[in-house]
Amino acid sequence: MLSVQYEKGMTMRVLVAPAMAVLLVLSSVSGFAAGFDAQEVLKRVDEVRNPAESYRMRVRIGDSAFEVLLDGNSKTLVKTLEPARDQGRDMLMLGEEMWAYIPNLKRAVRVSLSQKLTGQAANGDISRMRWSGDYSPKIESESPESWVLLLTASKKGLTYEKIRVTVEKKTFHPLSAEYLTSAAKPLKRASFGAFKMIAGRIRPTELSIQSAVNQSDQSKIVVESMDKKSFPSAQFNPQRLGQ
Amino acid sequence: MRIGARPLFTLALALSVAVFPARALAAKSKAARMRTLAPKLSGEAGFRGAAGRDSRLALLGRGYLEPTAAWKPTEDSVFSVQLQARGWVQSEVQSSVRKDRWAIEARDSYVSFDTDSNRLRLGFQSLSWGETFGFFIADLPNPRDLSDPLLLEIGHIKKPVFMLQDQWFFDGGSIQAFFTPIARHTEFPVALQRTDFSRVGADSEYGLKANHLFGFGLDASAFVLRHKERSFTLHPKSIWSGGVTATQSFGQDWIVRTDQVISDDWQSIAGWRGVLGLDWTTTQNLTLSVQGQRDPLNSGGSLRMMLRGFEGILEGWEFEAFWFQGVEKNETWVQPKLSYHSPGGFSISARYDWIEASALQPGLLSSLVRESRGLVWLTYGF
Repeated sequence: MLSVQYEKGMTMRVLVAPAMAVLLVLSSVSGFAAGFDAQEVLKRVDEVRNPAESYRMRVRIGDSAFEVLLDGNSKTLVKTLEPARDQGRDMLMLGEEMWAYIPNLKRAVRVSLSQKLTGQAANGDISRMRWSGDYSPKIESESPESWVLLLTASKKGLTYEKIRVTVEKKTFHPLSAEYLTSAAKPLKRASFGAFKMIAGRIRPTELSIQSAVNQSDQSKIVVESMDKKSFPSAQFNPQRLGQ
Repeated sequence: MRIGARPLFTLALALSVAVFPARALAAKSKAARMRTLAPKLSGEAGFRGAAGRDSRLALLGRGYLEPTAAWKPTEDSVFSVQLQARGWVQSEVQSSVRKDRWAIEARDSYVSFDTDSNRLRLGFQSLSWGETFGFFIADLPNPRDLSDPLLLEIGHIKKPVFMLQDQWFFDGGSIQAFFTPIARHTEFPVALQRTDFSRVGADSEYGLKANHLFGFGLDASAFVLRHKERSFTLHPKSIWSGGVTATQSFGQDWIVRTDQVISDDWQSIAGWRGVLGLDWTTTQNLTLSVQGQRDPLNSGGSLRMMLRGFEGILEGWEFEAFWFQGVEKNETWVQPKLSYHSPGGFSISARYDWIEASALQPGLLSSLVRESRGLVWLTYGF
C-alpha cells in the first residue's frame, strides 16, 4: 500500500509540479494569473517607473529641461538646466515641504506645494514618482488585458487626491491616468507612451498631460535619460540649494 | 583685545582650514583619475535704463555684462573656483557719489572645497540670511550698495565681502560660520563712509548661524554676528546682532515666515526689529503675501503679489507688486514690475519705484527719499 501510495503521489507530483511551475512563471511575468492584489500591482507599476530607490533622470517639458535627483519617496531635488534664464532656479522637495532657489535673491525661499512646475505639469509629476506609500490602491475594474486602479491619497500634501490608473496586465506598464479631486472630479488626464529600454528595462519615457477642463492645455514630460545613483543626505538640504 | 573677543569663530574656521581640505582631498583621490572639465561660463548681458524726478536720474542708460566662470578639475572633485565680475558703461555721470562712466567690479569670486557634509570657501562672497521680503532685515552679513539707482534686486545690491566661510551640513540642518577681516560699508545715495583699509582686522566681521528642519515642518535658524552698522549713519560702529528666522507651511497653500533681529546698538538702530508674514499660493502660481513689520525707525505693513506661469498668449509674462506703508511715519514704497521672458533667453522688464518719505524724520526710507524712478531693463541670459 505504501508503495502504491508513494507511486500515486509521485505520479501526482510529476503532473502537478510542472503545471505549478508554469503557473508560477506565468504569474511572475504577467498578470494573467489570479492572486495579484491592488497593492502588489501598484508595487510592480512603481518598479516599471522607477529603476531604484535612489536615481536621477533628465526630463524635458517643452522648452525646459531639468535634472531630477530622487531619493526614496520623499526627497527630490529638481535642477533647472534650460532655458538659460531659469538656470539656478532649483527646487527641493522634502516630504510635504518645498523650497525654490531664487537667483535674484540668492537664497532658497520656502514655497508652497501648490506651485506648478510648467504648463500642465505639476511638481508632483516629476518629484513623486512612486505611488506606493503615498496612495491606497483599489482595483476598480479589470478586463482580460488591463486593470483599472483607483488610488486614494493616504497622506496630506500630495499633488493629487485621487488617481485612476490603467495598467496593462501582461507587463504592468501604466497606460493612462486620470487625476481627480477628492470628490472624484477630473482635473487632468495623462497617457504614458514611448516605451523603450532605459535603465535596464522597458519603461514609459513620455507622459502626456491634458487639462480635463480645457483640452488644448497640454504638456508632455519626456524622460531623456535615467540612471541609478545614490546621493549623500546632505544633498537634500535646503541650505545647500543653489550652491 | 578684539581678537580675543572672537575665539569661537577663529578656532572653528582655523580648524576647518587646517583639517578639512586635506581630508577631503584624500577621500576623493580617485577623482584625480577622471577627466578634466572645461570651465563653465554663464551670466547675463543687457541694458538698464532709469528715468526719475531727481535730476541725476532724469535719463540714464547703461550697458552691462555680468559673466560668471566656474571651474572644477573633475566631476567629483572637491575643489572648485568661481570668478564673477560686473562691468558697465553708461550714458552719463549720475552723481557726486558715482563719478565713473564705466566700471568693472569683482563679484562673488572664491575658491571652494565641497564634500558631502562640508563646504569651505575663501574669497569674495555673499551670504543670504532671513526669510521675509521687502527690507530683508536679517540679511546682515553683507553691506549693500544703495547709491546705484540701476541696481534692482537684493542680489545685485549686496556687496560681496572677502571672507572665510564654512558650513557643515547634516541630516535636517546646518551650521555656518564666517569671518571677514575687512568690513565694507553700506553705500547710500549720499556719500557717507568708505571702507577704511587702515583698520583691517580692527573692523572685522564674524558670525555663526545654525539651522534645523524639524519633523513637523518648522524650518528655523538662529544667528549671532558682529558687524558694522548697515543703517544710514555717518560713522557706522561695530555692533552685535542676533536673531531667529523661521518658516512653517500649512497645507499646500499657506506659509508663515518671520525674521526677528535684536541689535545691541540702542542709540541708533535701537533694539528689536521683526517681520511676520503670511503667503498664500494658488495652483495657478498666484502668490499673495501680507507682512507686518516692527522697526524702531518706523513700523508698518506690506503687501506682495506675484503672478507667473501664464499659458497661451500670455506665456512668459510675470507680474509682481510690492507695497509698504509706514504707520508711525508716513512712508510709502510702491513697486509694480512687469516682465516678459522669451524662450530664447531674452527678458524685458519694467518697474516703477514710487517712494514717499521725509529726509527730516529718520525712517526706513529716509535715505531713498529722492529715489522714485521708472526702470526698464533688457537682459540676455547665457
